[in-house]
Amino acid sequence: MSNDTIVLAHGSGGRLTHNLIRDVFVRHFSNPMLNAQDDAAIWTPRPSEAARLAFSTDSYVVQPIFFPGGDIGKLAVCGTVNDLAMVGAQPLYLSASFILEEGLPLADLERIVASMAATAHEAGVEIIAGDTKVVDRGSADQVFISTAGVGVVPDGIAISGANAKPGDLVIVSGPIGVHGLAIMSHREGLQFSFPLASDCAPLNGLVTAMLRADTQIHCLRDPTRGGLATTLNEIAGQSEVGIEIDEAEVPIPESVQAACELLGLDPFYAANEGKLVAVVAAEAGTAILDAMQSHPYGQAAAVIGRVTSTHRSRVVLRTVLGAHRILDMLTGAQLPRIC
Amino acid sequence: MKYIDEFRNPDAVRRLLEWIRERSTRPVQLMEFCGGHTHAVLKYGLRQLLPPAVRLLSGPGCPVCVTASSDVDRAISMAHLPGVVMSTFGDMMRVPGSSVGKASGRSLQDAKAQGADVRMVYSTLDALSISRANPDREVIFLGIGFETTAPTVAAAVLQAQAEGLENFSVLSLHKLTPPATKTILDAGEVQLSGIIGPGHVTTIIGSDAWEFLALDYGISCSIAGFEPVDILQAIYFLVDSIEKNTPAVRNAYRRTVHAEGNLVAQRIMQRVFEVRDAEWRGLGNVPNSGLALRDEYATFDASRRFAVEVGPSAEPKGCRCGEVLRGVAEPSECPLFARVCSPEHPIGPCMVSSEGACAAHMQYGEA
Amino acid sequence: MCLAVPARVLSIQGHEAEVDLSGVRRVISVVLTPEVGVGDYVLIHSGFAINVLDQEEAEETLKLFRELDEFTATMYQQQGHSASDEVH
Repeated sequence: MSNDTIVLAHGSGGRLTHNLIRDVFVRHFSNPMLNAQDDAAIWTPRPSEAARLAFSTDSYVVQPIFFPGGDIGKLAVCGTVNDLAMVGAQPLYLSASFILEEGLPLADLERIVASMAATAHEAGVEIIAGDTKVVDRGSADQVFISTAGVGVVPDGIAISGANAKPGDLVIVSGPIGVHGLAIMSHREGLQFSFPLASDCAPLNGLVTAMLRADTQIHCLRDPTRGGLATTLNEIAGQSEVGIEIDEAEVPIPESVQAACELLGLDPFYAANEGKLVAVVAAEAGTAILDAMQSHPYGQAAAVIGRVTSTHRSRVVLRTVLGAHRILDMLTGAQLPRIC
Repeated sequence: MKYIDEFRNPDAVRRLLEWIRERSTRPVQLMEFCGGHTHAVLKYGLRQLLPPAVRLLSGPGCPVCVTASSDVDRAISMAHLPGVVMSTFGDMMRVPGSSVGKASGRSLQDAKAQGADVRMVYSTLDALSISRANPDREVIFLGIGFETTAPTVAAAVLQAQAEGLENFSVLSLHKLTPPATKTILDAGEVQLSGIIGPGHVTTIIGSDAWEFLALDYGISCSIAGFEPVDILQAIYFLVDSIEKNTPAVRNAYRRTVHAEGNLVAQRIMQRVFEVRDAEWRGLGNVPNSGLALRDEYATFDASRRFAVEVGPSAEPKGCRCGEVLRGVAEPSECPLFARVCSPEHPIGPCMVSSEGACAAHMQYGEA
Repeated sequence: MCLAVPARVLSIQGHEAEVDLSGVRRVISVVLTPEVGVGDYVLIHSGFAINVLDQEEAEETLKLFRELDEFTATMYQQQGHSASDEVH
């Protein structure tokens, strides 16, 4: 049995499993609850914590597992942290379950786990529960990760995709299309003079800063799969309002635009892993925008549009030429066009 | 982005629209032949910005849309052959053939879900790489596209020959654009005052190839690029020619289109391909409009290497893609449009291809 | 098939060239444009350069609009229009 790759026995629950947990997972994630290594973690809610809890789960199967700007582990931690942050929750604890493919180099696993520990540390969350399974070579793509997270929602916070109101401002926290194009470009062998790295980041700190500036935040959502266009359509649909976006105001990095031209893709449908869309009351706009621009993950934040009472459930784009057209949700996968 | 941004300049667009408005005194119907133009017109909302007297019709210039459903079936059948890797441009993945409900799947995407090895590529060169990396597999490249793409596929075939690759072949569904244009005009179904000519096809074949429009049909043609400034400049030239009652073929894409085209590309295309009749979805059989590999390159011709049985082309009931492709019907006039036929559940090819008129209307619908 | 993108040739090695579009680089085939030189702009379609861009012609077209710019701006001023009127 090789001791530098994952083998089936690592998932059997015996000594190898215990050693793996001790030497990789517990070593990197270390915290009192996890270190106890009981079947479940127990904690007592602090008196200062609000009554409402938020809970979210996600799975990660991204290929490649290492990409410029991150890896599947960082993505997993940020994904769940951000889902909690998008309902205004302060994330507290995460679980992380791993399905490992036989043959995965241990060094790769360790690199991923270390990355998760660092990201969790930045986000101020602890990984307190986990699981490991190993499957035959070919039954998984190197590693699949599933995370779940719990957080507390302060009193008075009511953030939901259904809460957008006509007159609200639509704000994006920074340039779009970065993660999606970083992955696609990496796959297609595009080189960059300034390499395009994924924007993967935990956004709970940004959300806290925004709420501190003004609590009149009606919706928050991170435009991951399906891109900005899909997220805006989701909000428009849930809130039964119209959304009008000014194309000229949407920040898109030149490198993303150029990569999109070369690959026949549309940045409005490309994934973002470190950005959020906020729908806020108009009078709160300036304060919230200032708070965002003062935060490392919101420096390029911009107002990109507004909520209307016309075209309900649809998103309309005012093109750079001043014409209006519908900005639809993504259907199927975004397939690059040659035509 | 150089030579892109400048041709999207809103001020230049504004100016061109003013010129068009001032110059235009009568209603005109212009066909934008090329699907790339349909896509750009809708993406930028040019229809809204143009004066109502200038009406744009979509034409059959979407190579995905005009692929006969029996040809799609052929590709799907080949994809299911043991040991085959079917490589294709992304545009073709979701196009339905006529095998609705049949075991082999409606599209290449379906075939993939059923276990066929279907891979999306950006270039025929990627298919060559797959061939080199998998000598035990038969790699078929689905060759669709007009004269812009055909030379690139021909070059890849020559490369394969030079390398002695034995496991690479092309299923050629390539088509030629001037014959299809003649077919539409000869059918007399639509009154056209002018045609917006395909800028990248013409980069290859040269603007002289379109002179027949003015000479034989008395119709003006403006060869256009794909940025808003390019398209509007072409429309301005068309309006101008129509107002002068002087049919003319004018080049509005001078930075890449010339009278004789790219002779190297034409020679390579002609070396590998010969002209045959071809079946176009929506137009039926169009004489001398298709490209097939010459006998000399038979070993690279998938249609000769792999015998598959397919039935005749069949169109889904109620689907009016054919009429949309000929400019006779607007997408909204098809009874299936947006009701039964949508991007999520496309019935006909015009809804699948990102530059199909129906898909473009749904995705970029005017608001 | 119509999508083709202009990019600048950085280097040429035999039948291949590395091209750049706003800092994004790609290796493509120049078999169809044997006359291409470093510094030229080419139109890329499906992994191949299909033509060398005529930069003079491009500049001519753009110059036309710049000149019209000044002409129309003056004309508009005289007629009391605002240059930023919405286009409809």
